[in-house]
Amino acid sequence: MGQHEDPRVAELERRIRAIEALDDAALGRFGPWDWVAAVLCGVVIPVAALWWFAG
Amino acid sequence: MSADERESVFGRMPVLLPEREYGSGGAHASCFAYAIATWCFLTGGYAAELVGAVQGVVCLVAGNLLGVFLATMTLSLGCQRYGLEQIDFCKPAFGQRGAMLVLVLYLINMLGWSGLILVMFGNAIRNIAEALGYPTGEWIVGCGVALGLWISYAVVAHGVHWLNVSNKFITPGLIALLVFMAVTLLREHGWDEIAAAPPLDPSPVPLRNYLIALELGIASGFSWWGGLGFLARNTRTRRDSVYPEILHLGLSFGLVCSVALFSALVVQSDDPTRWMVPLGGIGLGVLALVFVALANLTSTAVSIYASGLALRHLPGLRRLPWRHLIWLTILPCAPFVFWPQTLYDLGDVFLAYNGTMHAPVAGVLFVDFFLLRRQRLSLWSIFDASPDGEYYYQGGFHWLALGAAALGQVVYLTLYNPITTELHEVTAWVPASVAAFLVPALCYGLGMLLFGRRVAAAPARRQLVAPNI
Repeated sequence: MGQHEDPRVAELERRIRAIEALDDAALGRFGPWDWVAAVLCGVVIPVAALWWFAG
Repeated sequence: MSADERESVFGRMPVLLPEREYGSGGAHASCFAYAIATWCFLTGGYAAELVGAVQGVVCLVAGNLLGVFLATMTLSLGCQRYGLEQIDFCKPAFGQRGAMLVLVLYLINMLGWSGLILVMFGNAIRNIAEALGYPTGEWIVGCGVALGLWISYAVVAHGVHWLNVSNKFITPGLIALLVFMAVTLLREHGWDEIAAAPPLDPSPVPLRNYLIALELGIASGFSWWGGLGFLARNTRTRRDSVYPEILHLGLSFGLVCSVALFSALVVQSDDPTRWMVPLGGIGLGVLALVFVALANLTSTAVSIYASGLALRHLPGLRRLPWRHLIWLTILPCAPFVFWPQTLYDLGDVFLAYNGTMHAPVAGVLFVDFFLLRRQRLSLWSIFDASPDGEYYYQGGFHWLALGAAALGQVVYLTLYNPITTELHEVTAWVPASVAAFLVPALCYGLGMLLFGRRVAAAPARRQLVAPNI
């Protein structure tokens, strides 16, 4: 695949190739327990507090 | 930093892993700095109109956590994986041109906040003049807004360097100011007095006040939508893109808003610039006001800078000189010069509007990214605007996604009208913002299952036919 004449586009293509070649593991894990923690902090505890103090 | 690196950090180029600035500590520090900003004062002040201290803290903290969670999970994990900023991230769901409609919502958010914060800057100037015994009026607030716009233009036109320098002083200063406010409130007034202070302008129905304050809390969480992509794309790990945002933009921001709420309740004014002199006396109060005024200018400059960058998405503006672009972002703020108080009083409506516009978009993106695409996007297609591209759809618009988002806005306004403050009884069970997230998500998901193959276009290819950068 030839390189694009516009240097901005050539740079963009280089970056796209680099990111697509990146292994998921290189970006760290966000597993099921992370989801549980996030849902607990972002939904369950706030909703429980809202319910409790609504009265 | 080379020109390419600068472009990737502050422009639209995908950010490569080695270029990302935030490790764990950096992500927490940046999110905390974002959370400690002067818009906390506005949000806390508006909540004080409706509810007292205890219910106010719950609505601001819990509501904000909920809003941030719903907005952040998709944007953080998506923008972090691909190094994208949020408008580009919207293209797989909404289409190459459809994402420009989301851009308009984003710009309204950024410039609306800028206008409100500049009125606060103008109010600070007026109150300093009053404290020093000079005659004042609304005209001085309008002049303050004009001055703030001019200074913001001058700062932004000279690039991000000045913002970075001023932020090094503003964030620690704001932390000191908030600690000072919290300590003064507790020492001079005590928790019992704060908890007993009545709300400023409540309706006769307590549950209604609680639900509207909750809407403000959730909407303020959703209003981070515009900044989440920038933060996430600069983090190195997936956990660092999520946890600091929930912890600081959700929890810390809610707590800081609560300090503002307490101040508003004790001083019995929703105008943050009226709190400083009663809390700190003339000397410290004027000093605090000067500082708040400076902090407001920094916040405005950041919003205008981000808006200028966002305008680079529009093909006709990609090559426009930076200064001209900044003028384009400043012009919509001009009404705040002429009608500062009228527009400032509509601030709670604007806050609710953030829920209206971002909740449906967040709902569609959640289903699109996690359920339909299984977290797999094609960067080639995102940056390719050719009509046979994968994310071009019909005329550049993915009508199903846009229709679902529009439906979410209708749902929101049916359940809660922020102008008349009329609430549907359903909101006692599901807040309008949450419904405006869930209904579009469900409709879009079902629609894609039924009609998805018809709207899906050509398969992804590995070259840029019509680069959109």
